[in-house]
This record gives sequence, C-alpha cells and structure tokens, in this order.
Amino acid sequence: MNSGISGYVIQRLLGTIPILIGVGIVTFVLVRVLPGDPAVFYVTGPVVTQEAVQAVREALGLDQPLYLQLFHYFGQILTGDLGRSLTTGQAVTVSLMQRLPASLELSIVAMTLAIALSIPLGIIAATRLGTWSDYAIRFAATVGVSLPASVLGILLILVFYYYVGFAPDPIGRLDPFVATPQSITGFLLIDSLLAGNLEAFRSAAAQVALPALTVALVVMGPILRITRSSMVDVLTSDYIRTCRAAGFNWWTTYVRYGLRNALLPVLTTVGLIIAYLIGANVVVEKLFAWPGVGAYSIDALLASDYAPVQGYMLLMTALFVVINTMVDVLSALVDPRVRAQ
Amino acid sequence: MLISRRKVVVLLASSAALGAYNGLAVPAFARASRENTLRVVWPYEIGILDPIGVAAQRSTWCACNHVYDRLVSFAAKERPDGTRQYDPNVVVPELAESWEFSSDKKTVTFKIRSGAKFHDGSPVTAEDVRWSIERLLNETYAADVIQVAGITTADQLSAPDDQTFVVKLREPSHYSVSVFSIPFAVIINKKLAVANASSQDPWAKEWLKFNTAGGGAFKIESSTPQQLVLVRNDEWITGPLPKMEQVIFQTVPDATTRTAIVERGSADVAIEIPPTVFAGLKKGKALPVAIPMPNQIDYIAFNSQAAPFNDVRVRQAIAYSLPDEAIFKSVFLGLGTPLFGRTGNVQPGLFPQPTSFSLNLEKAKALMSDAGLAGGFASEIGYAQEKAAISGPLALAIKDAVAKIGIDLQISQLPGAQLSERSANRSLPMLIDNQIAWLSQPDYWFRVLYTGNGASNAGNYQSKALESMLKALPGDASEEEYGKRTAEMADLVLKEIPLLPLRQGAYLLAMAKGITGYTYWFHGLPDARSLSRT
Repeated sequence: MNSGISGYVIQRLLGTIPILIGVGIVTFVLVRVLPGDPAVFYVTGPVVTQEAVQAVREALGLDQPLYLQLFHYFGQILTGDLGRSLTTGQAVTVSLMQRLPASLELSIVAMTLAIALSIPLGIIAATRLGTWSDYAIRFAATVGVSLPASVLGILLILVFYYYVGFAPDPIGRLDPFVATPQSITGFLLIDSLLAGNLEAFRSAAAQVALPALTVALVVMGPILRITRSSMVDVLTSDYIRTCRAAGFNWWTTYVRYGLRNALLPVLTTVGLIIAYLIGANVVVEKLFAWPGVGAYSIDALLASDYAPVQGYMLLMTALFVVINTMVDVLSALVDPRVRAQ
Repeated sequence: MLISRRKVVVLLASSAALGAYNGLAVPAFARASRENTLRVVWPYEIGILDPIGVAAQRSTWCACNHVYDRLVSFAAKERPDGTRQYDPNVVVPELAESWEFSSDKKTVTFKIRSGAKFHDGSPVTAEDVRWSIERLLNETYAADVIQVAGITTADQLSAPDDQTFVVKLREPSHYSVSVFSIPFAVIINKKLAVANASSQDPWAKEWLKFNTAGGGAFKIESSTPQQLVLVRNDEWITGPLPKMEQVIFQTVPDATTRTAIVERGSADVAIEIPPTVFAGLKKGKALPVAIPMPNQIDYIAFNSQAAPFNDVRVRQAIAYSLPDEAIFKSVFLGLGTPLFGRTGNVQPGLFPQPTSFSLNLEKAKALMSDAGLAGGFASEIGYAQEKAAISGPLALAIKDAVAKIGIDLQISQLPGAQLSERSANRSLPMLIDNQIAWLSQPDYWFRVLYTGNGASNAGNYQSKALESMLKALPGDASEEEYGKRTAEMADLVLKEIPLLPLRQGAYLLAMAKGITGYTYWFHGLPDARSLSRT
C-alpha cells in the first residue's frame, strides 16, 4: 500500500510541471495585457516627461517584443530566479521565501484553532439535533461567516488591544524590541524554540494570536457546518445504530466510529480552505501589518509590478497541488475505500 | 578531509572573533531601549535605498534624508502647537557651510563644512559632492528636476579644491542654491561607491540599492520591507545632534491600526492619517496635529486639449457649479485652506492661491449654453485608489454638483499604475489629484504643473502665453519684479483653470504626548533629526 501512495504522490507532483508552465505563460501574458503601465508609474519624482518614461521603459526591458521577454523570463526561472520586484527592490524569490512562512504560520495556527473549536462543536450540534444547543452553535457559525474579516479584526483589536490592553501592538510577527531568532524554518514559533529563545516565542505567539483568531472565527463556520451535516448522516447509519444497541460508550460510538467516517468531507473542506487562506488573507494581513504573501501580491498587482505577481501565481499553483495531494493522501489513510481506488 | 592543527587554531580564533563581533552587534540594538527610541508608523514599505534609483519611493527618500546630507536645507518656523513648518523662502546651510555668488550671478561657490565625515570615517570632499551631483544628472527624471536651476551637464560642476564646489550657470537662476536641498541631491561617499561599481554600472546603482554610503545624522541598523531601524551617528556635525538614539519606522498599512498604536502609547508618530480617522482621534490619548502645507494643492485636472474641456467656458462652468464651501467642510472636514472665492486681484509672489470661482449655478448654465452644450454631456472622472479616502467622497460631490448643469460623470477609481498610464496617454477627461512642490516658488509650479509633454502637466496645458512669460522671467529678478511677473502667470492659469484648485491641504498626524519638534518639510516626510521626547 505504501508504495502505492508514494507512486501516486510522485505522479501527482510530476503532473504539476505542465500546470506550472501553463500558469506561467498565462500569468505572464495576462499581467501585460491588463491596463497599467509600470514605466509611467515608476518614473520617480515630481517631473514626468515622455523622455523619462522612455528611459525607464528601456531600463526595465519593457521595450522588447513580448516573446523575447517571455523567453528571457523562463530562462531566469530555470535558474531559480523569479526576477525582481520594482516596489521593494528585492528579488522575488527571496521575498516569497520570507513571506510564505509568515502566511503559512498564520494560516496553520488559525486552522488549528478553527478545527479545535469547530469539530467538537459540530459533533455536539449533530448529537443534539434540534435542541437549543444545536441552534445556538449554528447561529454562532452563521454570524462568524457573515462578519467580514475586516470588521471582525477591528473589533478584536478594539477590545483586546485598545480597551483591555491584553494583546500586544497589532504590528507584524514580533515585538521590534525582541531579538529575532536565527531563521531556520522561517516559522518564528519553531525557530524561537530551536534557538531556546523563550522571549521571542512568547512574543511571536502573542503577535499571532489576534490575527489567527480573526481568521479562525471566519473559517470556523464552513468547517462546523460540514462536520455537523456529515455527522448527522453518519449517526443515522446502521452501524452507529448497532453501536448504540451494543451499548458502546460515547467515545467509541461517536468519535471512533462516528467521527472517523464523517471526517472525509471535513478534510476536503479544510484542505481547500487552507490553500485559499494562504494567498487570500489580504484583509487580515493588512489590518495586522502581517508580512504575508497575500498583501504582497495585491500591492504588486495594483502597482503593475510584474515579477512578484508572476512569482506569486507560480508559488500558489505549486502550493495548491501540494496541499491537494496531501488531502488525498490523508483521505486514503482515513478511508479504506479511497485507498482501494 | 585532513585538518592540520594550525587550521584548527585559526578556525577557533576566527570563530571566537565572530562571537565577539556578535556580542558587540547585539547590544547596539539592545542599548537603545524604549526610552531613547522613537517609533514612527506609516503605510509605506521599505524598498530600495538609492534616492534616484528607478522606483525610489517615499520610504526611500525618508531613509536617505536621515542617512545622507544635502548641501542645503530650509529654515523652519515654530508653530503655536509646538510643531514646526519649513519656510520655502529661506535656505540654510547643511553640508555647505556657506555659499557666494559671482557679480553676474552665474557662478555659485559652495564652501564644504570642514571636519564633516562619512560614516566610514573618511572626510567629505568637494569631489564627493561633484560626483554625487553628476550621478544625479545621469538619471533622466532626476535631471529633469535639477534643470530648473539651469544645471544640465556635468561640465558646469567643478571641485577646484577639497572644500570648494563650484556651479557655473548659463543664466542666473533663483534655484541655483535651493535646488541642492531636494531628496535627489544626496551627497554620496564617492570612494566607497566607486569601489562597489563596475564597468557596466559606473554609478554603483546596483550596490547603492541595498547599501548606503552617506554621512548623515543616522546610520541604517537594519532594513526589511516592514521595518527600518536607524541609529544615531554620534560623529555627525552638520547640524545639532539628534536627541533620539534610535528610530524605528514600521509599516502599518491600515490607518485605524496606525492611530490606535499611537493612542495606546506604543508608537510616537503615525502619519498619512485620512481626515475621517483624524476626526475620530480622541484628544486625551494622542495629539491630533494638523500642519498647513504651504507647498501642496488639491485639484481637479481637465484634459484641456480635448473636447469638451478644450473649451475654457466648460471648465469654468464646472468651477461655478461646485458647492465649494460645502465640499471644503464635508470632504476636507474644514482642514487646510480653501482655494476658491477670491474677491480681489491675485496676490503677487504667491502660488498656490485661490481662484475667483465660487458656487453660481446661473453663471455655470450660461457658460454651458455659450459653449453650445446647454444639453450637457457625459464624461469621466478618475482618481487613484491609494488616495480614495479623500478623492472618493470628493468625486461623488463633484458628480452630484455637475449633474445640475447637465453633465453626467462616470467615476473611475483606478489602481496607481492604471491611473499613471491613463493620465500619461491623456485618456482621462477629468482627474482628481494632489501635488506637493519640492521647490515651492510660483514659477516652479508653472514649469512643472502647467507646461511640458509629460504626465506631470496634469491639465495638459499648452499655452504659448505662459511659456513666453516663463522664458522672459529673469533668473535674477528682484523680489518686486518676480512677484509682479508671476502674478500675471497666476492670473492666467487661475482664469483658464486647466487645473481647478480646491484646497491647500494640511499635513495630518497622530502624535504621542511629549513628542516635540515635529517639522513639516517640503517632501512631506517625517524627519527624526529634530524630534525629541520630554
């Protein structure tokens, strides 16, 4: 079975290559077709003349024919160089590698929080179908989904930072007066522990708490609802009735046999949400000055900064494939029927 | 692999040295505790560190103002609330100790401050100055600014000895000294830069993007896109030593978060505060500060070369249709100075100044029918998404107002790069924007905003009359003559209104209690050199 899974994984990862090439070409053409002329935008200073615009266009290599630019770009990619951002002046590869861990850390913490809250609540709602606790939980989930992250985030900042003063300054991943641990994984929570720097760990954990809570409250809704409806289906099945009849205890009935069988759609939803979160957390990233990839790519897109947009698209494509593959493998581990396919 | 005993000793010694170095480097950051550290929060990301590189931006210039010196600066006046405002008419020494004009006003001789040193300890020489200005002349858009002083080629610059820098002009110019204050005109350590240059890149553009070679009041301690940390250069002699030992500039994109951080007392200064957020600042926790900007203007630009706005009557009709006072109160929240409803003649020697227009629907309708457009027309007004906090409500107010004279406006909120493109190819009939002038003399405004083929001439104004008036303006005109001649130009552009001025803005910031010495500079950027905490 193991070789089956690893073969499957390799096959999926190889399948990424044509997808990446396709996405690369489409993005490359698309950003250039979209309105917005970087040459005009990046002329610096108060006097903008046509000569200055032309000089910048030449400096950026945008005066060359499109196919030459594309050819040049793919040549660069093969050497691992995704070009350079005009707005930040940094190499895109470096920026993405610095920012991706920030986005991943936020998304993973938020997702862990969301799962830890929503799966138990989903089970409770499903086992007490139609009672007041079911309605209360479903109501809370609906409110979470309906409140946009921007409003929720501001509310949390207002309460926990502004009035209560419990949370640290909502800026970035670490208090600027705390020494940054050496970057090993890029995840501050892990790096600070590896360096034995507990002060940095405390600071990083405190910084991530509010943004993660914001994201968690927003994504809890769908997970909770999927868990609940999937559990409801499972709980009406024959084998759960048998469990009950056999007098198994709560844990065996609901968690060992119930939850495990109900988990499949939940896993798929979680995978999709994670992949979406990493790139689409723009609002929360902006609100908490979180240096993630979402805000980076949106800023680049608005500024017609081609290289970061292209690099971001490639990275996201690769991530989507990896996460989907992971979800498929996990599904196989959870459900023997999937394994058989 | 074999390692000899000697190698091991060397390795151990060098790693010990490395450890010692690390030991020194960490306290440098830790030394500056919260008390002698100033924290500024702003929406900008830190990009490159070369003020004349492509894509240099506000954060770049702010960093460079601290890390590099320029030859001259402007005087600053104390204001009643403890903040200060620069005076565009008084130039003061910075790296240049003094300067002299020749009798024909065509030669300016600068004396470089003796004893001034770069951060690496080498003395600042006139050759560094000459090289730095020549470097500037090599970048088209930077050269376009410095040419207002009549400096166009490197042979006009010379350094006869270590302390003397000479500029030779073809015509006298009243910008011949003040032009050396602009953020482009930083003085770079030539030896250090050249050592990092290459044959393809003789001006060290690549190296200076991420490294600095200055002698300014602060050095860069660390720089990431979200956080710039500067530490004081204790050897600095160009001005009074800054009070703050360390300054942190942090990127906080959201304006509400920015002000909340100052209100909680974590940061000292928050800038780029939209009027609505400013109005919500609670006086007790942070000080809302509004400093008038003498060199700023909010305006509507018309494409004055294309129908229907090539007809001056249509532009004037719009000027008469706007409920100016209501707009000033509701959109600008009464902050700044209104630029409409002047009753007398134009004031000599002043720009921006108010137009004579104010709300008069009868006149507006009459002008529309004179222009043969009594039935009205449809058009478009655009603004940059980045400036939506003010421009958005303003666009709505304008749309409502001009609907009364039959004009149907479509509002387009555009991302920065799209707006730049559309204003450069003149495909936007109307545009809401604002500008600041680095050298705020009337004729500078006319040269930059009202002439030329580029996007900075936002109204696409092509006036032979204005051009010949500018050409005839002597660079050594007396104050009285200069005032008289520029008043004629102001009269022309305020009647023909390719740009309809609405307001002179106020610089809004949230400041923690006890912070003094905040100065509004012509570039609109915070300057930690004059800031202190009591």
